[in-house]
Amino acid sequence: MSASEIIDQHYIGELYKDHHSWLLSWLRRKLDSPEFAADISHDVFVKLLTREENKQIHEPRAFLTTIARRSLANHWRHQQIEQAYLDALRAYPEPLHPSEEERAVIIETIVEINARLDGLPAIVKRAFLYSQLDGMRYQQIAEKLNISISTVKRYLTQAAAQCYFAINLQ
Amino acid sequence: MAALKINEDIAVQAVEWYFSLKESPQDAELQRSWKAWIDSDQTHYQAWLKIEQFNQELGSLANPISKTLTHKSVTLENKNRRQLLRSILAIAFVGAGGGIALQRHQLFPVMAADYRTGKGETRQITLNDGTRIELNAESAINVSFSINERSLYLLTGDVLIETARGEAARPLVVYAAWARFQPLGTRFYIRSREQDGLLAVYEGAVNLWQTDQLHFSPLRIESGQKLVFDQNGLSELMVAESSDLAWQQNILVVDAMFLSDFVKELGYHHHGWIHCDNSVSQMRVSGTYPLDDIDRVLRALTTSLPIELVYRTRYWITLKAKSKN
Repeated sequence: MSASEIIDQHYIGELYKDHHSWLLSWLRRKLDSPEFAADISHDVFVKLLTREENKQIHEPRAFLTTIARRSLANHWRHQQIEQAYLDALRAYPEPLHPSEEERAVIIETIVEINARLDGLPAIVKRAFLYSQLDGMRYQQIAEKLNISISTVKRYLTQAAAQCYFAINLQ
Repeated sequence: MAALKINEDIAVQAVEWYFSLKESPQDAELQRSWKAWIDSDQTHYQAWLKIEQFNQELGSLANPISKTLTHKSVTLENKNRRQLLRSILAIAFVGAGGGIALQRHQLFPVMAADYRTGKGETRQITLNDGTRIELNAESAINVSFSINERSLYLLTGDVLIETARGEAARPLVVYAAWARFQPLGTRFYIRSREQDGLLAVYEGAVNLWQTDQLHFSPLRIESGQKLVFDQNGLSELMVAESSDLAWQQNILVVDAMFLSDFVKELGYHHHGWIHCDNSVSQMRVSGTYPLDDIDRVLRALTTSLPIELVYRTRYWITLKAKSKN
């Protein structure tokens, strides 16, 4: 553990002491369930602990609510995908269902790919999924989307740069 | 280990290589020039690993239901997404308990590696070439066998590898963030974690290329030798000890380890956050600790060191200097 990490954790401990109950009551006003508010407020601090660096924060409360909002959005997206997944599973006989653990991995991965591709044009996302999920070649993607092969290549590069490296090529 | 910053040019080159190879998997010439590109700069290699890592996660979506749902959810218009969201919101918060489930999900982003272990879990696997691997807790490895090479990607953690015999034509290569390894008929242990790396050879020998020196000639580590890699770089050669493999028995053996490092090590076997105050992080810990009851290990520490445990929650434990009273 590096020295800066130790300071970070100390600093987060301070943040927790000073602002945790404020954050919790802010979340309680926003959400119906007090347990859920507690989960999210806890989640915010866990996120801070896992962050690579924690610079000094000038407006701690604004900062904490931003993370809490992001955390809620993630949670909702997760809920939404999980629900859709469970609905889809109902069409299949029980023995074919993945285990609880496999299901968690799958749902998490779908949430992750959603987040990584967020903001790209739909056609760019589709080209990427055809390639990465369905293993289609350039030619097949070009036919499927009715675009040229050079456009396919451009879309794939654009989507992959964002997906793997969080780099926006636009 | 600090990740290298991958700039836009290198990212674009990496994804272009990736799609070219995917389009023409049999093109030996292309593979050779790709290899040269990988070897020419350590950031190329890092970029490649980044692609590889997330692709392994995507591997979990190979079944038809997951694929369909991924297509649907990713390409859904934002407007529809908000509608869907509203209807789900109405039901989602009626009974949203499950605090720990949520916490766990957020704490441990799932990595769908080919083989992975969670907290406190070890696992033995025999690969289809006969190579045997054993993973320590919180470890993940990907396996990729092609006509020319058997590749193992140690994404994180500790792995003990016993190579299969009679596969000389198709070399085994192990990739980790800090180095690349080529065993020469052997049994060896590789560690690759955020804070450090280690190679210990128990039989045969292993050639090692440090990630930033892939184009140099390799370092040859013989049976009975080990070296570690940390923020100071590569260590001198040392003696490989059987205690380095104590994790196979779910035991941690340490000799004058910093408390901060010790606590990090315990964290691989504990469902929660343990950390120590900077006032005590430089204290030293020695001894042999069974890892199946971490709370007991922590209590034992409080008797041998002037520290106390502060439980903020059951899962958030801080070690700090004992208060004087």
